[in-house]
Amino acid sequence: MRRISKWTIPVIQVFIAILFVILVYAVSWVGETYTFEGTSYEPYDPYFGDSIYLEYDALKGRHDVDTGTVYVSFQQGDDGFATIDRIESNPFFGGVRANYFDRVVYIEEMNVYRVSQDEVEAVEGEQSFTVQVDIAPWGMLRMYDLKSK
Amino acid sequence: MNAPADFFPKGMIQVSIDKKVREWQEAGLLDEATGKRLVDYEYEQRAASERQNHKPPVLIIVGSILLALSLFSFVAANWQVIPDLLKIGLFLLFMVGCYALAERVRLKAPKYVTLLRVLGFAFFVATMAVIFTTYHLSGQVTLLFWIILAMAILHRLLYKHVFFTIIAAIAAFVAVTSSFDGIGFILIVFGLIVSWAWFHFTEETFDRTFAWLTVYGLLNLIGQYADYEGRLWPLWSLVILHVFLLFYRERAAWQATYLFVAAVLSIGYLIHVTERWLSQRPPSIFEATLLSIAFVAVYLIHRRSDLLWVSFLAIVPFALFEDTGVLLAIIIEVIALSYLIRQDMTRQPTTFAFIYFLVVQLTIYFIYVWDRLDISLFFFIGALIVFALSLALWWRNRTKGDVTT
Repeated sequence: MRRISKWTIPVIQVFIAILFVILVYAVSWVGETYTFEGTSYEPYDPYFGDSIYLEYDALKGRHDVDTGTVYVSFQQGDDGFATIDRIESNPFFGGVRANYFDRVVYIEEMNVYRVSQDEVEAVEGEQSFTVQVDIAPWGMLRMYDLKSK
Repeated sequence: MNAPADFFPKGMIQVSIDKKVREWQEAGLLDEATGKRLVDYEYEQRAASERQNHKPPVLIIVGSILLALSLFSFVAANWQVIPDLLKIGLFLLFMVGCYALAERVRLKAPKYVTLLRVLGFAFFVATMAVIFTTYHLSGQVTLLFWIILAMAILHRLLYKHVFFTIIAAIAAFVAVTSSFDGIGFILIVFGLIVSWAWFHFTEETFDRTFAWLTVYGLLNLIGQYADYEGRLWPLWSLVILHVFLLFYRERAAWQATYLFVAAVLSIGYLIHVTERWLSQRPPSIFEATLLSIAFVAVYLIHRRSDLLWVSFLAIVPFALFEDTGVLLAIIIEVIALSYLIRQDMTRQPTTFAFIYFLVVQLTIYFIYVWDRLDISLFFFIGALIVFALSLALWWRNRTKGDVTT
């Protein structure tokens, strides 16, 4: 008993860390893919860093929901781009955590896109983009494949 | 190895003591037993000093520090280009290393064990921070805080050191306050189980107080989750928490937290009673009555004199109907004074009763005088009140002392 309990805590903690990493990778395996339209405040210049700050005009809130922290899910619009489907104050299965103020919904994880080396040429000097986002049922998401529109 | 310094004396003692003792014995200066004891003693001394002198040489220490520093700076300089999984693995390795080292030195140097385990826990938190920043998981932060709390409590239960209680208390505070943004049903249940385990499996007052407060915070979160619109939920949570007293019947120091929370709540309602968000939404008569009945019922069920003071909160919901706050101020003033007097009469410690009384005075003074006086005069009179009250208490203690002697 003593020998087992000695290693309980480190083993559980390693397990938790691995679980989170697996959850991150599982987003792309089981998540649903949506295409979002995003714009940046100014044209992308690789000289100032590898991040683009994106805004999404399509993510509008609703009057019957209180401002502050909200949870949202998405659906594919007629033009092929994602729009908000469900928006609630309490978490629900499949909901992504977001901030809602000024009639716009902000998703913190989707605000910044890290541009990889091979993408730089395609998006340099551009201001409006499309981006693919995998969204997992447990609320994690992963952005990839940024393209100029 | 550094041969001359270590090697020579050993040889010298071997030769000289054995030889000298034999020489003295032959000369008839020593008998055989004394000679043997002398030789044994010298060998023992020799062995002891050898054990003490078994330290790595200075150059190796300096060298290893430099090596560690250069390793750290190398890793830090290339942090961006290290693959994500390698980063996480590195931190996990350090974490496991700390726990393994703690087990190794447990018998040899017990004073470092707790330090190493705390370091291990710190590396766990750091690992999770690395995972969360590299993968942008800001949406799951609340879950992370509750997991950290659960691990801190597990440390407390398995390693039984009071330091982990403090860590758990801090983690609980962060978890509860960050959850007010929004918390899901599963997380509430998880939090309740974890903090109940903390409460149940430790006997210490210190732990139970914090565990109790965590449960109280969680109950308040449930009100938030259920979109409760009124302003009386903190009182309902306190009523619900009396269930604990049905199962943990023995009188223990942690139960004073009921009084503490009741005191904080009364001050809180007193401060906010004149503000709009509270006064413009008076509770329904039905809810106020129900709550008052619940408070009185709690006292009648448990029949404990200290709970009597908690049940006085039954007055608060009705006092909220009167939005100038004068009624609530008078009631709380009377309760604070009578509590102080009762503690004094029954010869129980008056410190907390007096602090509560003082805070009530200052709150009322702030609410009703702040707008009406010049600021310097305000603080001058406030200071005079505090001074007069302290003087009265001191006088009271002095005369009481005279009586008992």
